[in-house]
Amino acid sequence: MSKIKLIPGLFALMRMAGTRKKRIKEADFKIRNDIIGQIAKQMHPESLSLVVHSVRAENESVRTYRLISAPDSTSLPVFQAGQYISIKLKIGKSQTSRAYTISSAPYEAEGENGYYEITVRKKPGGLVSEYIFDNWAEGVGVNATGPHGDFFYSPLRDYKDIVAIAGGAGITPFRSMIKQFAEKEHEMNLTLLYGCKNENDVLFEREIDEIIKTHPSLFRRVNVYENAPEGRPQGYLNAEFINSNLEDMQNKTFFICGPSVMYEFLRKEFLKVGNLRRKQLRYEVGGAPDNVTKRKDWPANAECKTVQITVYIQNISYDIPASTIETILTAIERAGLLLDSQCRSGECGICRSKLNEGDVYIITDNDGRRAADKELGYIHPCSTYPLSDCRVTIPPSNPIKGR
Amino acid sequence: MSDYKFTREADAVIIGAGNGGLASGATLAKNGVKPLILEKHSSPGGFASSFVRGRFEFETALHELADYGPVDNRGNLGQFFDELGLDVEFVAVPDAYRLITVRDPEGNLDITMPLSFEAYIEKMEEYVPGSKESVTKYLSLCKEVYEALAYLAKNKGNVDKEVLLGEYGNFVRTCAATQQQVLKALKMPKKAQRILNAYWSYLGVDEHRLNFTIYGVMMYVYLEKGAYIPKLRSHEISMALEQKIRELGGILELNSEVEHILIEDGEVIGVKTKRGEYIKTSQVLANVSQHMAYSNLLYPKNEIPSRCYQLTNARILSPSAMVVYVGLNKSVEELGIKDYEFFIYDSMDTQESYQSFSSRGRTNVQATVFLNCVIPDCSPPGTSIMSITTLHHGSIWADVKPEEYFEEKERIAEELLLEFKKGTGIDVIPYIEEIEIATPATFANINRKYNGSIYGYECEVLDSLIPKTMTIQDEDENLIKGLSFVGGFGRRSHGFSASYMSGELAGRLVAAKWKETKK
Repeated sequence: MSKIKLIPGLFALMRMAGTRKKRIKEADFKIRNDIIGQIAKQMHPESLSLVVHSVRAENESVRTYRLISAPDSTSLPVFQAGQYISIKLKIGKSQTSRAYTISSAPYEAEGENGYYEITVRKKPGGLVSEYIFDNWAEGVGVNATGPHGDFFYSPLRDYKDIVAIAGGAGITPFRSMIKQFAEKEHEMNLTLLYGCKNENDVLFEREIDEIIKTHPSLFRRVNVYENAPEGRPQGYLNAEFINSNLEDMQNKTFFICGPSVMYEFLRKEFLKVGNLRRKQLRYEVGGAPDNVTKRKDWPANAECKTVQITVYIQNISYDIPASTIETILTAIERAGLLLDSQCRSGECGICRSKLNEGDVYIITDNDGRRAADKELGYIHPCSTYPLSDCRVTIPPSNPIKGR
Repeated sequence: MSDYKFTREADAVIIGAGNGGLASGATLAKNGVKPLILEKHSSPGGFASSFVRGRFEFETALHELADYGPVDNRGNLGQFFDELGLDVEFVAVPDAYRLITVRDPEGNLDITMPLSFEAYIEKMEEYVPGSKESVTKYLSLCKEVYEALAYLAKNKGNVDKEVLLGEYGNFVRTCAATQQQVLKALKMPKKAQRILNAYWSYLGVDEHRLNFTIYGVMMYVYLEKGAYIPKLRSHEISMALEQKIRELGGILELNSEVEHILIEDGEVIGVKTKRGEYIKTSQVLANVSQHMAYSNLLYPKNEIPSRCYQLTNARILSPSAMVVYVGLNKSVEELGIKDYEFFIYDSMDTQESYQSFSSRGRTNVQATVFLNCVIPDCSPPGTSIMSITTLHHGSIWADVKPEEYFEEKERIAEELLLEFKKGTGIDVIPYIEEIEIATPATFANINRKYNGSIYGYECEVLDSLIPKTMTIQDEDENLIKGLSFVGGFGRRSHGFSASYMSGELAGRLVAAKWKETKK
């Protein structure tokens, strides 16, 4: 092509070298602060160093632990009502984690005296809840990560009419939401439908009722009991109960939190509630089910037996025993091997590992695996059960710090 | 001698499994050098990744790959992937872009440009009668620049000045020019200039500072080689590269963050991980910015030549971004969306838009893609995936209080969705089933981007190929022996293809050096 006539042309090019040298010569000797990096660290610290500030018994089997930032660490990261923290524990030779919803409100975490509360139900034989009940007292240090999770109100996505459906200890995210909305937001309203086994099962009743009294136009609560005390509604949290308490279903967002059996039941019940769109139903992840064999897609021919998992970490292999009715993550932890985890429900992918060989059952309710990962045989061990002997490659993990 | 207790040794250590890290790892392994790649995350890829929310799998960052090309006309990236034998399914993007301006003092635009030389020129003539000659000239110039760079790459070190000035004279004449200067010299009609500059936000610098060479090459490869995306999001490419590296004997360790690059007497001698492991190596390829390396990674600090700081500070970091990922419960057909890529700007005054990156005012730049327009089954039937990207400097978030952070995120996301509506007449807000909003803090957290800067250093004239080459004698990039940079901050400019190719280049150079020392 013909010559391009350009004003700067070659002379500019010659000058450019000099200009460049000059700019370098005049440049600073010090790299400026990474302001956004600092904000990111504050919002998403690698780990949270917490201390038990106080313990409150909600009833015989439920306690609320108030956690504050350890003396030498920074203030608590902000969160959205409904999010959880992942508590990291070393129990015997096992390093494990549990996701606990923050049951206090975001505004209570602000400032120097900010705190998170988590509410723990003691499960008979539950490794972690029993450990916490036995060991956590005022002044005890707690390691965690977070806050994490997607179970929160999003103004662009959700309707302003919120229905909170709680089963038993599943009330925790809604305590956080109600407190936060009452303090900071007055745009949306929330109806709490609370299903409980009996009177002892009800948590935070007085506290929530106080808030409702102050903001009667924003909040409403209806309990239903499987074994009702006198004068209280007897029944189940089912379609009939939902239909009888709500109108205008199409313009509501349902936040649902409870045990996994409740989710299986409600998924069917919601079909009778009306033609709800998927965006209207938001289920909180709830960890591994108590009894996986009761799930309706649990393979009929699966036996309850011990199998062997060969675990590879950085080219070293370990043969460990596992039960077909426990997750691969549990087997790995019990063997004293390290594998980071967070949601323990299949969603977040922190424990992402490669299944080289073996038959497995995967809970797909919250399957966070990506298409390319599925093709290449990746699994999330927290929601995967070994049905035969398996070979699994797991990434190296970091031991929990301190205590 | 230092007394670090090294427990392992690696031919080369790559810090970060981003595009540059993975590409350099594959290149090294292919050339007989066994790399150890240390990645802090639980998944490889850096920006080339994806994440799941509900029933959607969102692409993290890629809009389209330049320089890949169809089977019979591969670009550099396509050739590189072919030579590695990567197992990835790519899909061609049909059109270049739809450009919409919504507050344009020169009249709002709404035009769709195709992805081939002839079609582009013809479409432009249709929109701007009389533009054909200058646009044709511009694109021929782009071609010459592309060929000149290929010539330079081929004859590394022995460039014949006669050939360069004779055959690639226009390249030499324009290499220190801005995009604006070239358009002006070609006397292109103003409206055609505005349409042609649509891609500017991909580079993040306005046309008055943007180096023509870089924009020109980008235009050329898009129109000549087309634009491609992987079928299963860019995570598929990252996984294919990881597989390849392992096959070739390289090691990739996830959840393994590097704390320090250890240097002694001006040379790299190893790395220390956050877990406290010391690994001996003479070659480190850093998939991070120079800003990050010199302020955080290199150790001990008194070994860092002060010149490193000056060279780093003489460069300008590209802006950061916000990305709104949206899963919709309507299909693109139901929504009336026909185009994959929308550029929606206030106007084509790129200087004004660039300046707005530094303020917390209304966002006036967005690049929005609808994945289903290229990969119809990327989400379940009756749904679609949209992602909106806007640019601004991370520093504007410095004034946002932590407790206002979520609200501010939502506010900007809503603004972007409303701007999309203003530009296209399509309101997607009622159909949002999933939404995730990434901010500069997200990129600083997940991708360790200094100030959240998503690209690399600005592609301004002073920081472009030729001025850099001309002054290379007295600023030698290898001030620390054994340290190279790959990715968006590597030797090529930024962007997906460039960061892969920077890894390929660094991998080749390091492999050659390594073989030399082994002799």
